[in-house]
Amino acid sequence: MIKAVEFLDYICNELDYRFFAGIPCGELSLLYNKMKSDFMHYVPVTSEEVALGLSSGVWLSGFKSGILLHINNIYDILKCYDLFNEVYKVPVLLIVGYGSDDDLKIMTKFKIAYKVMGDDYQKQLKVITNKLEKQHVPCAIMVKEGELK
Amino acid sequence: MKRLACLKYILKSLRSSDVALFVGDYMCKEAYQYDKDGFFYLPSVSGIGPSLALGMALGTDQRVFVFVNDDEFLKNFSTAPQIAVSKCKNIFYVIFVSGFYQSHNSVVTIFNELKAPKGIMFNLGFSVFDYTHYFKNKFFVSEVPLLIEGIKGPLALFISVDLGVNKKLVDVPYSGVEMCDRIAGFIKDNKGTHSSEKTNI
Repeated sequence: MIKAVEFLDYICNELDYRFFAGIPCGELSLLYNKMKSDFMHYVPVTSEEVALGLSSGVWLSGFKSGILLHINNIYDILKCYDLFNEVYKVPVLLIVGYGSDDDLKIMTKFKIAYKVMGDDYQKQLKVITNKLEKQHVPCAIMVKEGELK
Repeated sequence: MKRLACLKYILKSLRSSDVALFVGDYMCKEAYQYDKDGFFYLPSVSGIGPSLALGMALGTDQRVFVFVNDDEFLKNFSTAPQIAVSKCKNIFYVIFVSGFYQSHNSVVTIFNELKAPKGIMFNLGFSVFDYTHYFKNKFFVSEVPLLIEGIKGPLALFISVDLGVNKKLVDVPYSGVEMCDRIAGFIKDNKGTHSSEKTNI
């Protein structure tokens, strides 16, 4: 299990992703509780599409950004992902919460690159953010229910 | 006045550091006639436009204008409260009202059936202006640059325009990647050109 505080600290202070938007996701609730406005910025939004647009705009203005969402809502960003982020090459980090390994099968249907978060989360985050920044496409880190404490 | 003519006056009134984002195929073609470095076009991606503009406004102190037709405004309505509550002083939502879909000029939108669209925007938290009368005669239109210079966001700017688009206009020639590089470079180059370097993030 990974401490939510350490996870956020690594993403914000080591990888420099400080702007996030999203719709609440039960699996990521510990992350919301540990967020602090002195080192990061979180915007609760009305839909996943708005979250993707907001984060993409922030990226274009020179800040690294990401969105937090539940795996079942990933369908809501696919249209914008295909028509905008992939064509315009605007990357954002997706932090996706999921309940069981069956849920994870959804991801195999899409072309979004992802890593499932484990104990060596720092290495996984580094790999995924390197890919994101080099290839300029959104990539996802998958966080299973109960993985954070 | 047609939308192309209104766009001409507004775009010429913008500061050299302003960012402008255009949503919709015909809107992009029309705006491309007055193309500048700070312009960003979304001809085929409509769902993301206003939220993308809000993201840019959050990350920079430059003024960000997003231009939509009333059909796109209705489509992206969930972004309006988001823009309003952001309290960003540098975002301006410009809505051209023709009452028809810009891609199908014979099909009406529900915009003109709404009881008080400006009231809705005001209640959400926008400052609301209607510049329609400024574009109705040549004397008042000369005041548009002064008005645009003094505005503060979050602002919803309504302009009623005559129906019809010029279908002979050329497509925007830039690829998505070219446009992103251009806008990212433009924002980076113009950061700190205003009185305060502080961004909203």
